[in-house]
Amino acid sequence: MNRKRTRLEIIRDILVIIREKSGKIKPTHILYKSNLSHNMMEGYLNELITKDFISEQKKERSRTYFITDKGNRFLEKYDMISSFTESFGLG
Amino acid sequence: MVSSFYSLPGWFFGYDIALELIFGVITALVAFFSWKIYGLCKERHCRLLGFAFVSISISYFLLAFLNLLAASSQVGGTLITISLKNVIVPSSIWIYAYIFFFLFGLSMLTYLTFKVRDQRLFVLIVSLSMVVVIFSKQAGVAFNFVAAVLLFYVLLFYVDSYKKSKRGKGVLVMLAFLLLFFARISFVFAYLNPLPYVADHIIELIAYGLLLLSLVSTARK
Repeated sequence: MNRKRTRLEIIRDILVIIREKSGKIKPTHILYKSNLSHNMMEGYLNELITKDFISEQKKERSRTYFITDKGNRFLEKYDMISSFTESFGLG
Repeated sequence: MVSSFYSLPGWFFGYDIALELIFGVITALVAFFSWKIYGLCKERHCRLLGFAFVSISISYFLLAFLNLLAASSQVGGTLITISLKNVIVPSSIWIYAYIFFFLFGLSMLTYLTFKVRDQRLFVLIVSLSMVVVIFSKQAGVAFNFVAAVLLFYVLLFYVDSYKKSKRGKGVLVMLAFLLLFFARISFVFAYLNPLPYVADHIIELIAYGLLLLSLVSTARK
């Protein structure tokens, strides 16, 4: 059985999903691919917006999410971030 | 009443200050790196870890300055004693500043191990630690004992984290805190005999070496 993902791993997974969709994606795709409940996904998306890792564009009844430069930088440095947080028990 | 905080052999004077400066630099590097990681991931605990280590770093620089200030007048003797009772007032201030910053840093590390978002818990840990030291008749012993207890708690957390992760990434940090705990236990007895002070510094050098190694291996990723 696979172990439970850490918070940082979930954040990385969401950002990777957005990046693989050319940097923009609908929330239903994220929900389908991230293996999260709807509430959890909304919570993570709000957190990622607060952290400026993604941006949200609302058009009538649809929402689209875009990965930002900060989000891309997080993915580039993910190995270092993960190694540090695991070493210091912050994961 | 024993008022001595710690004593060190005369031959070790100078080496101890150099080592304390090294400890100060290494802990400052950990703090700097924590904040760098915070800048990338915006995780609150990375910022707090930075505050904890910068506080510990300041305490080492204060200790080095304290030793230079208080012990330079005793150079040439076979034994140098730093006490809380008979020192001139400015030296006492340095000792208490050192105690404050060291316990503040350790309290923050202990608070981080709880993984809760409640500042009242941190205030409780830090205030209880300070009160015990301030109102103790043997403040030096009380300080080292409280620091050892906090380090033991942090060590338990890292042992638990290491067992859970099973990926070996936290082993260096866990060993570092194990050594820091032993070093602090040794320091408890530094008011009785000068040798524990020397042992403390040597063990701490190995511990901070391990922390630095962990940091370098992370930074290279």
